Amino acid sequence: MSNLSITEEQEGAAIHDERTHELVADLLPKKFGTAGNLWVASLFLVVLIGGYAYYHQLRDGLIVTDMRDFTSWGIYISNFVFFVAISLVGSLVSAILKLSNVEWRTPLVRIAEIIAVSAIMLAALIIIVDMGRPDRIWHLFVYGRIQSPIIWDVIVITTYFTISVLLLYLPLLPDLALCRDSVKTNIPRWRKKLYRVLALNWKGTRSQYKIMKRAMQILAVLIIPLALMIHTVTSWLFATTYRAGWDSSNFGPYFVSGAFMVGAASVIAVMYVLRNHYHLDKYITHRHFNNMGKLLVLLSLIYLYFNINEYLVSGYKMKKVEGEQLLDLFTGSYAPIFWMVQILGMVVPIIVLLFKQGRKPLPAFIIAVMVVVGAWFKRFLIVTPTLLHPFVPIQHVPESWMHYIPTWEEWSITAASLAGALLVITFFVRVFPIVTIWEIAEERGIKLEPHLNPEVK
Amino acid sequence: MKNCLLNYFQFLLPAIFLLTSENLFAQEASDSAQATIQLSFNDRDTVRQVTAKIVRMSADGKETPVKDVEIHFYIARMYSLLPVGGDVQTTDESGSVTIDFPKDLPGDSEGNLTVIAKVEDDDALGNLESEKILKWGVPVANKALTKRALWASGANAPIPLVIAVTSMLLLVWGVIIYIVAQLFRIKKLGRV
Repeated sequence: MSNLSITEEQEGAAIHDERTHELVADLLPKKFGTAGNLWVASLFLVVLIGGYAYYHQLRDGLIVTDMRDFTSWGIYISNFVFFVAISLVGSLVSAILKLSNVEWRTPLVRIAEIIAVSAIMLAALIIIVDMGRPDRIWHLFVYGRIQSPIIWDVIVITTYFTISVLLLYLPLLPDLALCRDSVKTNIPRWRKKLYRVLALNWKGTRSQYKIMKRAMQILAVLIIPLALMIHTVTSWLFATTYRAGWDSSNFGPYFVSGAFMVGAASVIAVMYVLRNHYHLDKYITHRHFNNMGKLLVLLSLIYLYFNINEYLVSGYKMKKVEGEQLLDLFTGSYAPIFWMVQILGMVVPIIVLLFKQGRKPLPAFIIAVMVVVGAWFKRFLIVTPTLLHPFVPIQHVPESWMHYIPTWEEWSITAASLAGALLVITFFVRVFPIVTIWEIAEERGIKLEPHLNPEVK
Repeated sequence: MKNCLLNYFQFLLPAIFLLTSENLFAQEASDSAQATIQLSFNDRDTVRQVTAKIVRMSADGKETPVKDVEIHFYIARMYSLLPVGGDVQTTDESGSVTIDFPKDLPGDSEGNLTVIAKVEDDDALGNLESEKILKWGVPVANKALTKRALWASGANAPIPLVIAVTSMLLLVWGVIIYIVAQLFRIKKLGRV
């Protein structure tokens, strides 16, 4: 009897080791193949072209853009709003789903957090790009007025960025220790050092886990109001200005709901690419696409509701200048973009994702990309048409002031910022585990023992 | 011979013209350099007047009034010059022009105004300018900037707003500092 139980224990341990080995081998960072290297090279190329365009802008000033007296905010600001919107996904997956005890969120948490961190980083950078005198950025902190929504935005973006980094870093600690302890000889010295320093002497003791989990819980609670604030304040940059199309009390929830929608779509898009590239089918399953698809439908319906409020109420009244601006959107020069955004970026995704077949990985990915692209153009539609419909009629001004067509410098810099965000995500995936190993191990009852782990590549 | 003379005059005459004209310009420049506008102010009874006198100073220090020169009077405002004194007037035999000065112009918080007299593109004198600051304006304090309001300067922000923003910042950054302290605790626990 005793011999038998020893054999069972040994067998159990062997199975345990095998499962641990498999889990860690699947999820530790891996070298890029040809496709990965090509991807990185293309992103670098886009960033380099953007850098050259920015050099032009620094040398000659904002005159190289098509922004003039009326369109003083162009695609840089549209891009800024887009990045801030996407960054809300961190709070959605890491906080809202966590506090709601949604257990399937585990493999998606880190994906959502790195999207949030990269987006908020690039949002801050693109604002500097929009400045005619970027050397005066410190004036914002020294001469800023607390009454100005711009200062509120500076404060809330800095705070949200800090909390997002902490929320990314804290649950990374056990996985960093895993990387540190699995390192043999075939990785560069800087990476060994990076893992060692960032792992903060993590040993996986009960007290360390206790502190980490408690801190994560506090941050999860804290980040929700901050996420609401960051995008509400961004909406106030517009809504506190008396302009046709912006003068709306609907703007806060309208922006926040749109942000959650695009954030959820971005997670679906990124998780599809990672799942295929790293063969993570065992961890990111059809169930995740199905559930994220349902969540995206819900968020899209809420956003649709706010869109109806935003356009229908104003369209019913058709006040003079506001009416002109709306007609420009509905039937005028912006109509193709407007209807593309509304139909392809919102209505079609809702319809497709309502069906189970539409929530399978590939269709969900295509729909998610449509939502993200639509969301970018949506921000353009919020910013530019309004500026070209001021209350005082545009008269006796140079012809170039009457329209806004972004220049190659603006497109290049904007493309570079998007490529930059993707580069941040790409490098993170290359160096750190993108799926939380310790949480999955915990859920599956696998005990992680660092000495059993295979090498990090 | 005739051709030779022609060639001679062809080059000589323009050269003489250039030399003399240069001398003329130099003379003008020196006239302009020597001439000045002197401003004086009268504030008697209910009338305020500004007198501008143009004098040319000779080498021995003697002042000669310059007559028939147009003088423009202005008050410096924030972005441009406000013309005062009605139509442009020319200096009399004594080289002077006197204008009535308005009494209702807003000045800075102490009532200071900058009065400017100008001679612009005069054939003989070129450009001349003289200015003086005097307390002839109505003192205007920008109350909107000194009162606590949303549109006031940063130092005069509404107290409730300052309290709300500061307390939110303290609360959130207090938690962030606490979390960072927890990271140090985790590191310390790992050393054991």
